[in-house]
Amino acid sequence: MTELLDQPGDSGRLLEQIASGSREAFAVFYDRFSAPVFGLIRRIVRSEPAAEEVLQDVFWQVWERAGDYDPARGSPEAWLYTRARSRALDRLRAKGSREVPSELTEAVATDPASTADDRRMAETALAQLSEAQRTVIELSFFGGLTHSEIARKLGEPLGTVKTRVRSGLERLRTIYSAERA
Amino acid sequence: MNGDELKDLAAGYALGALDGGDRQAFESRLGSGDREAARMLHDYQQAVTALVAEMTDSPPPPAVKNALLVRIDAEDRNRPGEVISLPVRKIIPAAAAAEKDWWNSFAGGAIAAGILALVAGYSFVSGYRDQYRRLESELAAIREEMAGIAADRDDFRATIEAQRVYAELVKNPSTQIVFLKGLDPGPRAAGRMLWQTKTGGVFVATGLPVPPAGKTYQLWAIQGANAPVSAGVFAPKPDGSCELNVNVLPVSGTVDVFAVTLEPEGGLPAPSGPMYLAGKGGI
Repeated sequence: MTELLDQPGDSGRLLEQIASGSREAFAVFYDRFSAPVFGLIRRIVRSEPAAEEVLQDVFWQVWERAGDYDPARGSPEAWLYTRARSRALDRLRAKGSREVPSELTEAVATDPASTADDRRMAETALAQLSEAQRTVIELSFFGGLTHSEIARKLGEPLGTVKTRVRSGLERLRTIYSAERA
Repeated sequence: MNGDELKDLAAGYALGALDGGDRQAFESRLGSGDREAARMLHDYQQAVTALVAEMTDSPPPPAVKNALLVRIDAEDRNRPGEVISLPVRKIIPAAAAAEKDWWNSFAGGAIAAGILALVAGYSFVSGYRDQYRRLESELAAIREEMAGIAADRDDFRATIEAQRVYAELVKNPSTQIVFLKGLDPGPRAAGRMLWQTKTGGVFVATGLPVPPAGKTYQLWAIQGANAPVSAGVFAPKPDGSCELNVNVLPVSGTVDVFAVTLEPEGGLPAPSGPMYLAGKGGI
């Protein structure tokens, strides 16, 4: 098992080991992914203490539900990030708002470097997208809005929003592919 | 559904941005083993995971990991079937006990007191564990209930969204309203299409027979002598009704005919099966 734990690419195998009760595998999995998951959650809930609570909740789910992971539905990272995003959005909505937080809307609509988290985001590939593409991706992924909710919020046709989401993700893929190459 | 529409769904799904109907449609394709949909989703998920992987500049405090590991250890200790073993005191025959001096008596008393303390401590810990298990159980029930509420909420939002789209279409005077009549294979069926070329529309139908295994209904938009354009596939509910949100189609101007045919699961680029519903366009 130790050999497997030392292989950075085999996160799916780690999840299998966690599902069978390996505390050691869990610790390795946590060390590997806690930083990006924390960054994602903090970006959504916009509160350090709340982000720590959600992070703990997410990884407790990993411990209890690792057996639910289905490789046919995506990578372990995608499985984990989806859970983290969902929990963070639940936390946000539990605060009493079903709408995207005004801080995010304002940040997206005005200055991408207006807060510490926004400044961090400005250093990611997201900042290389057009403003229109970045806006719809941030509103959906970090704000939890659906296509039609974004269309309503921005006053744009639904088809335009869908196209921007797709072209934005395709642009991100191109950027990351170029970085890897 | 054309290639770009499928890409729209895959990209939206990867970001969690799909509305209820679109999400169900895409999950249905994934569930039916649609390799093209799965490949597109994989590609877009890679972009999303790469984006999240960049967000690592500030790691979480070590206390979070410590708390998780303590919780895991506590859970391990509390697994059913594990018994805490207490030190067992040897039974000393009465005659031998009488020979002990006062020191032994004192030591025996101390041991007895120790055991009492252990028993009391054990009782305390057991009580704590019982309470812990109760709370865990209650927490699990609350989580289950919250998951149910979240699912209801998603359904509710999807319903509200569908009704909003429907209302927008109805009150717009330029909406094309097409009544579809049931044909020979399904004479009791009836349908209605509310259509806007620039924003898409909503199709509703009733009385459709349940399609045979491996088959699905497919909606088509036809303009003049042009090839029919697929407007989506759908399966009716057990009562024969259906509601389908239709995205913007690659057509310009009004649609002459909307029609529904029975096709192999997943649909086809051009109609091939029997026609169940058809209706001519008009404002």
